[in-house]
Amino acid sequence: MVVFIIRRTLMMIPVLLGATILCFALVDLSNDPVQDRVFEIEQSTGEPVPQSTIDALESSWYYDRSVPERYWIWLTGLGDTNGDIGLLQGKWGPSIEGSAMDISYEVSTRFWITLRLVLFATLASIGIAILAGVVSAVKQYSRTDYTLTFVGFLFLAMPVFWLGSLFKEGAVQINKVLGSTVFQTYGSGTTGFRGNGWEVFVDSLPFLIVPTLVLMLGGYAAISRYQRASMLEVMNSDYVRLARAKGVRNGTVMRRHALRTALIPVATFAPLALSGAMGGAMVTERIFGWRGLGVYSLDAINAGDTFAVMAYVLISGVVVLVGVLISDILYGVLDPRIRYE
Amino acid sequence: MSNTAAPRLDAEAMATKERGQWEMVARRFFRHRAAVVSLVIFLVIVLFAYVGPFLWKWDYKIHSEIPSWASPSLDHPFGTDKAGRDMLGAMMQATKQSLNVALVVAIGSTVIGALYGAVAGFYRGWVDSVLMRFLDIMFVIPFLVITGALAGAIDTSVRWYHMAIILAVFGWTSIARAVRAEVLSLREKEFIEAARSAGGSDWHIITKHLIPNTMSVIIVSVTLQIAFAILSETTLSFLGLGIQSPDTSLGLLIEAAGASAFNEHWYLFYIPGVMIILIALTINFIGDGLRDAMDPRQTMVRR
Amino acid sequence: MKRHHMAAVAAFACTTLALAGCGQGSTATSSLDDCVTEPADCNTGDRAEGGEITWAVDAGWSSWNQNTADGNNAYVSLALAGMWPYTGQFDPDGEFIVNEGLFASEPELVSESPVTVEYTLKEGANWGDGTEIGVDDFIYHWYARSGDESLCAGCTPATTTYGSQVASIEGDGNTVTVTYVDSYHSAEWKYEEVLSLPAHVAEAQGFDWKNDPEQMAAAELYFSETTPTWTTGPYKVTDASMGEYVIYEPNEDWAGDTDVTLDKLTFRVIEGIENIVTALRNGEIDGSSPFSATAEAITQLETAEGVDYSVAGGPNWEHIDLNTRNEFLQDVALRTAVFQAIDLENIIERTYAFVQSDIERKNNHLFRNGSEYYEDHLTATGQGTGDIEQARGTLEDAGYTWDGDGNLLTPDGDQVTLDFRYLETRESRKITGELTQATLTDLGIDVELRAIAPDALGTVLAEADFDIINFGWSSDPLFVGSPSQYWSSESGSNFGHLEDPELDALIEDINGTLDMDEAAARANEAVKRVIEDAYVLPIVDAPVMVMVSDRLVNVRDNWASQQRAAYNIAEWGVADTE
Repeated sequence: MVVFIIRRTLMMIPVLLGATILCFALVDLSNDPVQDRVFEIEQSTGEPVPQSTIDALESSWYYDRSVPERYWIWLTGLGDTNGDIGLLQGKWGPSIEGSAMDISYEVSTRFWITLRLVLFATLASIGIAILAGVVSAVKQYSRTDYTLTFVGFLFLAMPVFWLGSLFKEGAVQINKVLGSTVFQTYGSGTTGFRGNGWEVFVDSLPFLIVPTLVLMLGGYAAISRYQRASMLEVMNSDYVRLARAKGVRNGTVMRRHALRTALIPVATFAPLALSGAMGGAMVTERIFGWRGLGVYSLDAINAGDTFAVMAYVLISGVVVLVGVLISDILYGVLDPRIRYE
Repeated sequence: MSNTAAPRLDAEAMATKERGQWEMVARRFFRHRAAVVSLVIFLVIVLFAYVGPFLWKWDYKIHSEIPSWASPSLDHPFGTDKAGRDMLGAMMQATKQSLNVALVVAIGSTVIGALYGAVAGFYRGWVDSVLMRFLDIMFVIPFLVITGALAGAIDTSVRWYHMAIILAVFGWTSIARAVRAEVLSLREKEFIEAARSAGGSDWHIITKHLIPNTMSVIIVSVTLQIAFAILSETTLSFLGLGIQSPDTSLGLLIEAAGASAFNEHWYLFYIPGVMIILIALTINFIGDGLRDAMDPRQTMVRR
Repeated sequence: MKRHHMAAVAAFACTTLALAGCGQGSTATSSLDDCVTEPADCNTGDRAEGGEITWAVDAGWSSWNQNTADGNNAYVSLALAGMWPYTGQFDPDGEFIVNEGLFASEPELVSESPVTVEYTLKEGANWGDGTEIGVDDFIYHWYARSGDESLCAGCTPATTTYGSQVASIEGDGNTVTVTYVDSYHSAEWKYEEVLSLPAHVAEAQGFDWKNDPEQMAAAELYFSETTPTWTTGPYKVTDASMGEYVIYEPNEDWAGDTDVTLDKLTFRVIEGIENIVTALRNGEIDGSSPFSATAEAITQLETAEGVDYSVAGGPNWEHIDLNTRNEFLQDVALRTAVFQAIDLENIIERTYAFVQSDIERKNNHLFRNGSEYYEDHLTATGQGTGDIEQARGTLEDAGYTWDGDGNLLTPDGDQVTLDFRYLETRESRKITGELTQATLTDLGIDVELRAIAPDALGTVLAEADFDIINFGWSSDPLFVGSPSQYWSSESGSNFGHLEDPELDALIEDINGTLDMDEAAARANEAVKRVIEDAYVLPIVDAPVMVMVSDRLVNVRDNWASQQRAAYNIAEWGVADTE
């Protein structure tokens, strides 16, 4: 098992390297942040930007060298640097937003914000999905099954941004009816709120509920289809038939035999769903004004902030790969037929 | 194939068998009520988008005769927007361009994915390892980030075909995996052995024997790719990273509608949203019906 | 200016008296609706003691130091309006009010050659930590914005127009004298920003900024990253997070005379006008003055309860530029005809008029309609009227012809085709493009619309990758530097590469006088010339909106200030309902 994990972890390295090279080339070649910044400053000061400032911007963002050189320096930090770059030395490189927007600080604080959203949403969606999937399978071809299937497909077909906009407006309407601000529409907590973990959590509830609901509904449909199929397969398997033939009561068969086995695919699917929800979080964070990782990456793309985009690529890459790894391990733990050498 | 009689007979036999198989698929599909209803609705949407503009008096452009922000009426069944655009005309154009994207993505990504998966599965060994490692790389790259960055890199208006190509280039990985898995088992079958011994080239075997035999996987994935493309395209447009004017899309229409879900301009928000849902929903049901129809094993489980 | 100064004094007198009962009984409370007629006095009212206000800022920032290129951002400028040492503010009438917390009087010109300006600090003007503002703070600001490697090595100032022109700064008690280099002749000497950050804080942090240019740069970086706890304004920061929020309490040590009533003032980033409107309707914020206005937002606000809003021309002006390096547009006759064919009234009616019904076409590149220096040289030329016949006449006179299909041909017989570029995210510009395309088609010119991605406008302009383009410039009341930036042959911001020696000479002249009226007259000559060159066609001052909860008083929009509604932040308050 340990050997398996180590081997798999080592195999992540070339994959991540390849992904970063590809992304770096595509993102970096498509942007010229220096020119855009110079124009922005000019527009706001109404005066030409001094050449010394332009040169200083170029050198501080490493735009005075070629793309391959920039990638190499981003990865290794070797050579003539300002001491703020080099992934292997634990430095993420300069953000074009300025030295105060340190990438490592930004991603580490934002990671938890995104994780909170994604974790709650995924847990909730898995719970609902299992319920819906099991009910659907047990009552196969009944009206309930069709309704649940249809509702699942409906949410699968709904763009997250549309659902998000709708729920956000809906929350405002509910507030209006109740005459108080039960739901907040923007941000992930009261501005400047300080407190211990529990207080922060309570404070964040009015902000958390609606976006979590949106992300949950977006994610649950896929898992519930999964659960239904696997439940059906198990229910039609020989050992379940045998148990029934022996006269074991239906409820016991379901709980003891069918559900337990049918949960295996869902359990292994969960880590992947978590990383999938990271993508959905981009949209949800944008709509509800959460300062999470997803919005960070979108802003970075819009600004041509290559090093910030790379930080997101790397983090989401690691999350996905770790998700796959956990999923594989879970599969082995839950399914006694599989052994890792 | 050689010019002896026996193989020709064989081929004929296979052809009849195949026709029978497709007939059976069609019969099973038409028994799936939701799928059939969906197919009809989807065809109506396609007609709406591609034929509608020839029948309706307004196009998607701004006209000085059109009042701004008119609620739905007989003259403008879907209302009009602020600048003086008939929303029915705009919906036809947007649906058409969203469907264009979806169809090109579905076909493009399926071709790339099927070939890629078939090559990987057919050759196995180091070719397979290299191709699969590259697939891992593509899997790790966040989809919205990379497609958004590329769309942003286009230094002129992002047209629908730009978006279609970008989505196709990054959207084929799931098909490649599915086809590869299918090919891995197929390549050991006798008829591949036969084709190989008859002197068929690798390319011939891949395109003429392996891929046709993975058709059921491919057809299902084409339908699912349509839903995937519609949702990705509209999401990117909504985030401001997608199609740009003078082209339009359903996502852009929703973005332009803003937070009007509960005020007098509600129609600007709901109509394009419902259209997206209808397309994705019907496509999913059609895909479901096709899967059931083409995968007898699963049907057995179900019946 | 004189007239206004009196008004400011009168206003101060009344606020001082307000404490003693002035204004009591005067129930003439006005609302934002009056801003059209009384831009500087609308929505005034009696304030209750205490209260909290949360104000939305429509985008974030990434540096606390407004000297630097990173910190040159209208949003941080708004968020720090409560504490920053501005020289003064232009009010909505375009008149200058000197910062009451810093200076005892307006700056004085004590010598014209070289230009020497004397600043008299107010008794007790301080940094909020007991340290008085002094000459070192002036010198620090000068170094930071000098662009001179021997004063600040590796600094990235956003602008060096002030810093590079200073020859020396000397202090004597409460007076500080700034002496400029001989070549400095700006009529706008009075409005130069002279302070930014506390020199004593830099010293306390161990930066020897005065003697070591590297240390000076390090101090600038420190201020860029450090949340400001010092203050020279009516409020003091209690908590803040970069690009996210700033929370203020009243500054007890403020030297200004206006009475501050609020207990707490929060600036909070909410991106996008739609989100701001939703948050305001939902009671999460009390107001905002975003740098945009949309008809959708207005629809939302019209039906919202307890919310007041107004729309007016904002601090940016929209214009259409032509690229004089284009093979066709290098001909001034074609440029003139293109501008004559564009129907601005129609464009405005279908774009900006949706948000501001009384909006007027802008006829002068430098001075707003209604400014005392405003002159209209544009109307007479027929540019922007959409008069196709006139445009055709202009072209025929220059030897242009049309082929059988109505396509325009140059005198050499080439068919004219152009592109039109606009920022995709600006709907008004998109529609402007569509309508321009339609009218130029009538003239026989084929126009291709090409959108620009959100982050690429700077690149497109710098590479002159356009034939016709619609974008915006800031339009603050300062005008002396603008013509040379926009149109001088040498300027890097002359994106369409107009090269007109006569215009260059006119621009050079603007800087040669210290008299505002004379400078304005000379600037108008340059405007006249650039119109003859048919180079830039102004459209409108882009409308912006202010939206406030109706419980707030003394909050109103101000196009003339970068801080917009926050220009009179000390006077903000919650209405006294008793």
